[in-house]
Amino acid sequence: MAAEPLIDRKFLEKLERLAIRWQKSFPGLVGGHNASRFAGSGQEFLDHRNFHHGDDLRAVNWRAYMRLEKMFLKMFQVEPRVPVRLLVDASASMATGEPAKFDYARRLTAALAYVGLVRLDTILIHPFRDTLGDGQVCSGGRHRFGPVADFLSSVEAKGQTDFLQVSRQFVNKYVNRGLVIIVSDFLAETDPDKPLQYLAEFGPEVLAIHVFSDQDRTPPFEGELELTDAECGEKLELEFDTEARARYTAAFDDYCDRVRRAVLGHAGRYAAVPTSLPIEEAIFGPVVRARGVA
Amino acid sequence: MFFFNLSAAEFLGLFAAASAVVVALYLLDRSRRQVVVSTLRFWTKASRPVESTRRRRITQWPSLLLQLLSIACLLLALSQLRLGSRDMSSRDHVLILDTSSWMAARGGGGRTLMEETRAVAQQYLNNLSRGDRVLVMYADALATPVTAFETSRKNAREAVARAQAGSSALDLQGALDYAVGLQKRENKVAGEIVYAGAGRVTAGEGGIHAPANLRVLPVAANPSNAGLRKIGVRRSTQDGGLWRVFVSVRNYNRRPQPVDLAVTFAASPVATRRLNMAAMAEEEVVFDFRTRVAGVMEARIRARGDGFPGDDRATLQLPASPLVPVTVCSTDPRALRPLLDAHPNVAAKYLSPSQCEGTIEEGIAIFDRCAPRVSAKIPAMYLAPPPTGSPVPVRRQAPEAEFRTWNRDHPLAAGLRAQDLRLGAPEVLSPAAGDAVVAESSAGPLIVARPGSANGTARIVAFGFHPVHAGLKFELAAPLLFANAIRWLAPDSFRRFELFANSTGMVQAPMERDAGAGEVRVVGEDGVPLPFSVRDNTIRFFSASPGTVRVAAGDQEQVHSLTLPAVPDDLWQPSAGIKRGVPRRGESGSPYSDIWYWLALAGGLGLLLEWLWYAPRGRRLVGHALSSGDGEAALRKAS
Repeated sequence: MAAEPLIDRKFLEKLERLAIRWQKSFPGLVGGHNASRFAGSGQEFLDHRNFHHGDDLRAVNWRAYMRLEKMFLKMFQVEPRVPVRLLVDASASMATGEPAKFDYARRLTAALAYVGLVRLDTILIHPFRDTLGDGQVCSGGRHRFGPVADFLSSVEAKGQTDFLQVSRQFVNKYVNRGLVIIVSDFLAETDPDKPLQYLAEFGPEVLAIHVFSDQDRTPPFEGELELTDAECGEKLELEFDTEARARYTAAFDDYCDRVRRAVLGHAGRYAAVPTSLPIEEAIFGPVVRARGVA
Repeated sequence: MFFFNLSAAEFLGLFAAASAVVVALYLLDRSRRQVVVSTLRFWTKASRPVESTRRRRITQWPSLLLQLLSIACLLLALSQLRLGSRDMSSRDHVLILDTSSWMAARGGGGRTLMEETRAVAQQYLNNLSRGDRVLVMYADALATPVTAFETSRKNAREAVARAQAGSSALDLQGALDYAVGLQKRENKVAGEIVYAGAGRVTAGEGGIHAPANLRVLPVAANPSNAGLRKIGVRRSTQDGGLWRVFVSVRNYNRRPQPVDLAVTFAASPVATRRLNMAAMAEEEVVFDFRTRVAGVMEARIRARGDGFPGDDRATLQLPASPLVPVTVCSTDPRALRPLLDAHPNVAAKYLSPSQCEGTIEEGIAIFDRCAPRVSAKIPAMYLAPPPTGSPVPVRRQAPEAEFRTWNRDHPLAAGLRAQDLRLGAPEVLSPAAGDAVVAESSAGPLIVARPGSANGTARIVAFGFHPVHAGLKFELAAPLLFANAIRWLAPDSFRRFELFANSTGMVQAPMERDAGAGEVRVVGEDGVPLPFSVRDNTIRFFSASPGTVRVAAGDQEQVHSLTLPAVPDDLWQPSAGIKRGVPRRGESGSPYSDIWYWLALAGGLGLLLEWLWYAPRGRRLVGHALSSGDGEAALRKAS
């Protein structure tokens, strides 16, 4: 039986009117290392400078030369071609929930990748656990979406998460700054504050998409429970009732708030997406509101 | 209080099993569950130390009790718990619907008695207890159950709606006895025997022995009625074209009633009478009527305010009575003319022997001392035939022959006793095989009768002497013998014929002479023989449906057209102890109340409440319904 596609055709058609947005300017990357099918200069006038030998004569302001008898060169603002890197949490904690958070994260990542491909951006997808996994680079338009979908379908959720280690590896590997979209439940043994700060200080603009299931926020269980941590296997026995559930939910909301503040505090953007929300509504709802796409 | 479907032991067993399963599931549900979660980070803040002693202990008593109570309610509903006495849980009623002919009469409101009876019967069924079984029976001359004992009111209502007035009188005693027998045969609790109808019975049935559980649903209307009781038409034995008509009219009212009677034949008036009839009186009108052709005779009466038109008209189909054509071939017709003219059903024609050759095709041929070269194909009588050409060979002429005996068993010799006949010089005939010798002399056979055969040969009578020219001329036996010979040759023309229009049921047909059961035939309209009995020259048979019945005995035939409705004379008055009228709902003694549907509702409601209050998903549902905006607010805050 053929595997169910990550995203159906109708949703893909709706995604074509979106584009990935970022806020920071990345000077020096104009016409940089990222492959692009766009050619020529930009359209927006930026400034004048003195003409130097070897400059393109087509950019000389001939009117100014007629009045001042000096050659000035017109400079134009070129549309930045920043790299878009998608980090997808593939740890064991993502496999929990109903539906599984990892399935939801895969579909969300695929949707964002498609948006980038349609706008001819270059997309780099990296699953991560305790380390940064092998990535998948794709570019060249919507017809390159197939390999992306295949790659995401081949990834499994397992292992533990080490955000700090992943941050270090990422910064070391990609010195060129750009937009980093992290799709994760941000659940690990250590708090994600420090890795996020580390990542932000090295330049990339961070868009954090916080995926959680309803069970993560409001566990439906009651009575005596024997809990097992999906990542480390640690066990915990406890009595769970309505009051405990309220305390649990409060702690979860508090944690989400800390993650949100950590991201926003470093000029990043943050979107919380419950898995009960359909992917389409998640893209056009929380992600659009966080100005991740527009 | 009792269980309809289960015994108490079965109920307790089922409840024990269900309770055990519920408690086990309850304990299993409340035991420690193993859950894999994303992280333990938040659980540690919400956790409370586990009290291991609570495992396997019931912590939510109301939940368990609610579940057990709900299951008990559902099981009670399943077993159909009923409040009341088990012994009287279901009774068998018999509903007798009067479908006699009188039910077609119209009452004061313009509705027929049958319509009123159906309405009152439907009302009775509506008020009957649901658990009771009822059997619907139609009753006229016969009692016919049309449903079984069943609780389905649909079938009973349909049977009541189908009931139509019949054509026979009501045999109420027979219907009641049959109903009692049906209730006994079921061997269950007998309910009521309900009679719905007008109660019109014959005078002999006035003393009806009503069972103790009888209820009467009377139809109050008693329409005025005067009607035809019987019509008889009899053909005269002296004159085949003369019919004697008897019309019997009855006034069923308890006051005098003038009645106009009109009789027509083939749409032409035959007789009219105005009868001033006394109360409850019956009159018979007799008149003669002459015709030889077939046709429909109709008798019709007209009475003011008559509520039952069914017995105001009757018809009879009269058969034709044609003359028998007799051709006499003789050189001396004057001798035979007196004999033939004396016969009322004969039309004689006289020809010379030479004119008879091959010209006679119908009726009877008489060859007087002659014989055709080719034998006639119609019944023929040969008087002193010549030796050549006689169909019965002439042995010799015997002047010395003396008459010896008659064959009493043969119809030709019926009534003949004379012995000292002087026959002159008769011919002695030589009979063939199958021929019957009717008269014999000392020299041999004198009269020979040859019966017809299936291959087309007709009957023949040969006389060895001439009944007029011989010494027999002055004997009384001569015309009798001649008449017997003509009757034997054309029996249908001399059959005694009677027609009657009367009602269905038991019919008595008086015959003129003693007829043995062997020669009597009673045949229905479809040709099927009907059972009958013969006593004192009267044939009795029973026919429950309208139609025509033919009774034949010898040369006598009766046709009974059973088209008149049978109307009994009297109204039955139930005694004071008999229950009357439609009982109120529940008055018929509903011995229990059905509460299974309330129990089922309570059980379902209990399980739903338990799920809403105690099941996690149900509680979330309730919580969400109570604060539907909180979740969205939290989500918005998280985003």
